[in-house]
Amino acid sequence: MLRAQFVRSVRPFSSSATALAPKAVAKGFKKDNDGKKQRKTTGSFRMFQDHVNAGQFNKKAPQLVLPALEHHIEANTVVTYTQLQKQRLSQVGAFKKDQFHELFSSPITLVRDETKQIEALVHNSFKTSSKENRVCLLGERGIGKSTLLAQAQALIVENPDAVMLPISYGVKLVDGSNDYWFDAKLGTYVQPMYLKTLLDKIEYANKQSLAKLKLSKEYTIEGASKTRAATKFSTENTLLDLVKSKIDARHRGQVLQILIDELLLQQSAPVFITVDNFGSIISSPNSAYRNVENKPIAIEELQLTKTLLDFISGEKSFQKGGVILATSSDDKPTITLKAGLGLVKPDPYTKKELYDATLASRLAGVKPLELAKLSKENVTKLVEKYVEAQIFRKDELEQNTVEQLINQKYVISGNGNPLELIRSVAMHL
Amino acid sequence: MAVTIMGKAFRAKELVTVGLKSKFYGLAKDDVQRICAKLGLYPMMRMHQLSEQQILGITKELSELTIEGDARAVIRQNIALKRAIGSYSGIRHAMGLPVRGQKTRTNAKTARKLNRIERRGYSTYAGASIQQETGVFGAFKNFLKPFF
Amino acid sequence: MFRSVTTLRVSTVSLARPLRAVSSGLGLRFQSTIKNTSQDEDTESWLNAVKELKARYQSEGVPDFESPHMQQLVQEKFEPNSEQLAKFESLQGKPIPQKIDSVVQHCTNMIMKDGKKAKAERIMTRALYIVRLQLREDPVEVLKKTLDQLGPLMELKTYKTRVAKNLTVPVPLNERQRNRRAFLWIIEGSEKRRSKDFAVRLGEEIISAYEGKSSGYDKRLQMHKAAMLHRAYIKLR
Repeated sequence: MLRAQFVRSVRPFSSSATALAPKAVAKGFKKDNDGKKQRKTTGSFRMFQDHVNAGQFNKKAPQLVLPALEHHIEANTVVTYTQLQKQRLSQVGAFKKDQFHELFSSPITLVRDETKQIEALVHNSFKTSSKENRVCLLGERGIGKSTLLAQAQALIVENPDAVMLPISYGVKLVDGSNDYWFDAKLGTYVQPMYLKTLLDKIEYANKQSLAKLKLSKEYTIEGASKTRAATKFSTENTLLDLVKSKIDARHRGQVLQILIDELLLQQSAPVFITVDNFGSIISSPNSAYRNVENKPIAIEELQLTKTLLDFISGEKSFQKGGVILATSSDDKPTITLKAGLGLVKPDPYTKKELYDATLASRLAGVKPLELAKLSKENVTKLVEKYVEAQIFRKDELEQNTVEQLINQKYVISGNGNPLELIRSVAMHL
Repeated sequence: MAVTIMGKAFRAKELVTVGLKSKFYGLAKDDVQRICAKLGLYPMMRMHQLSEQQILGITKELSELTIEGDARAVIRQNIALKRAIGSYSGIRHAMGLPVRGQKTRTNAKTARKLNRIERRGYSTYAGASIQQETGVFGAFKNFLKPFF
Repeated sequence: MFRSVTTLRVSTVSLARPLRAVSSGLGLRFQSTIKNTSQDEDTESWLNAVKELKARYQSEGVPDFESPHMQQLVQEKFEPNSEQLAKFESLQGKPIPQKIDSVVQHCTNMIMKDGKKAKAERIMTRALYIVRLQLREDPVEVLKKTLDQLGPLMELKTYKTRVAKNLTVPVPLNERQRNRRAFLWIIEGSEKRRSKDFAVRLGEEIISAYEGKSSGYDKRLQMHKAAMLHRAYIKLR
């Protein structure tokens, strides 16, 4: 200390003085926890939508007695999913975060007229080629496109032979959120990270059906693993073994290729392709990916989107099966989709960003299914169940009869929009 | 954990495209896109997903571009050339006044702060470009520099 | 666009009002591509109507549309039937129901920043939704009960006496004041929670306050103690 003072007095301009000086104590500004920010520990760390979804709030909901969704069920009934359907659908990613399932002990859904149409299509596709059973669900925001797709998937799951290839968010194929790699063997770009999740989903959703299908010939994937030189699949192996096999990321595209080839060959199992958020795939001919020359990669060059478009256009078709597409209001609105489905005739002067003729021509033959708003009878059934599930405000129930509530909610929901209906019940001040 | 590319640290969660663009002086969005396309990095890749080899690849690509010190040198050279040939804008640069006909009666504060022949390049790493003077008096000057 | 055409033909009353719309419609007409000949005929007849009108206005002068005579033409007289009258009578004494509960509205306004009420309402809605999910009760009632539990009864107020000393006098609070103090404590407590989403933090804090765990209760106790200490200053008339 003394030395430091001495040095400071003699050589006030040298830099060593500051180095030797005792460390100054900051005055005035009080810092808690040695200057660190106080750590916040209590409570959930999630954002609203995730918090509501991950909190398992449905366990606290009162139990409802509802019939299960099955084939040939009457229209205009509120149903729930069976245990098997629920398990499969959640693995497949059919339940979306903003569908208010947490309000009920088990997800409830309404069988409506469109459900019967989709059911007829599913029944038809158990017998006929997938080329004849291509449908695209359209409609305004909250009208129930994803829900109807989930209902279709639930009906498909009921058939133990059926194979389902589910794509729950079409955007993720083209928006550049997954890695990509040019597979010289296949001649296309594959997306290994996405393929991993997709193959997992296929495995979970089709455990029984894939186990019944044996490979028609031997396949060898070379360099598929670090420990083995090649992975071989014999005719003894089933498609389940193929999907479950641990293949190196770079060769995963070949697994999908073999799976599709085998499914095309077989005759016993009906195969379904279901795509949600389909509009975002078709909104542009190019994906967000770029090739080595820094040119955008077309969606026809990506393995997954090309395979999808092949089946959607009917260029390839399963001997039994169907293709069910659902659009979303989140998708970028372009004319390509509606023009492809034959709903509008595009102006010849439409901008290139809005309309791509070649892409639209790939949609020829897909039947559009426009979802209508719920009828008064549908709203009646739903509101009755909502009353039973105790999601209404107390004051609302006290001041109105059920009949009055139905009338009010029907109007408030924009004459029968299901999303607006439940929002007007559970999410208002 | 941070990822280091050419001596600069990046947050692990940062997007590669965004991180490179913001930390290197003279590197534009299109340059980054070209590099990523060439190396096969997908658009939404994050810094922690880069492999050792990919980092080396980025370093190699970056070393071929005029960025950082080189990019600043180009600007300095241009200004120095203007001064050398005695053009009007060169003189205005030397005088520390606005170059493009703005008024000087009021304002012109940014020009007074920045305009000089040895103009400093704006980026995240301005410190590197400030020349340090040597010698006893130089040290004193360096010490006082931040205050003036 | 087409509507304005028909009104021109049919009634003279609405003639002047659509004039502005007509002129803008004209621009639109030429911008859009002409698709078939029937539309061309439409356009022609419509242009003729405009010409006719122009000629008439020039010869006769523009009519005064604001005059009471013209107003009478526009208005149709409404006469309620007996059923409607009976309903009117039955609803006479009753107040118009509030869209939003006044307490909830008060709390929403406390959340609001920079006058962004829609944002504040969204946060409040989501917070109440979380309360409903967690407790399975009516969230508005939960909020009201929480504010009732948490709100302080008395507050110290300082009065300046003109002499040396200031007086600190405990003052009783009304319901709105109590709600305000309580909800501000809830907001304060919610800041210590982990989520980045204010709606989640607020919802969780309301739940814990409802269960009696909020730090606001200590503050309430302190206020009451201070009020008790200063009770000697209360003037009873």
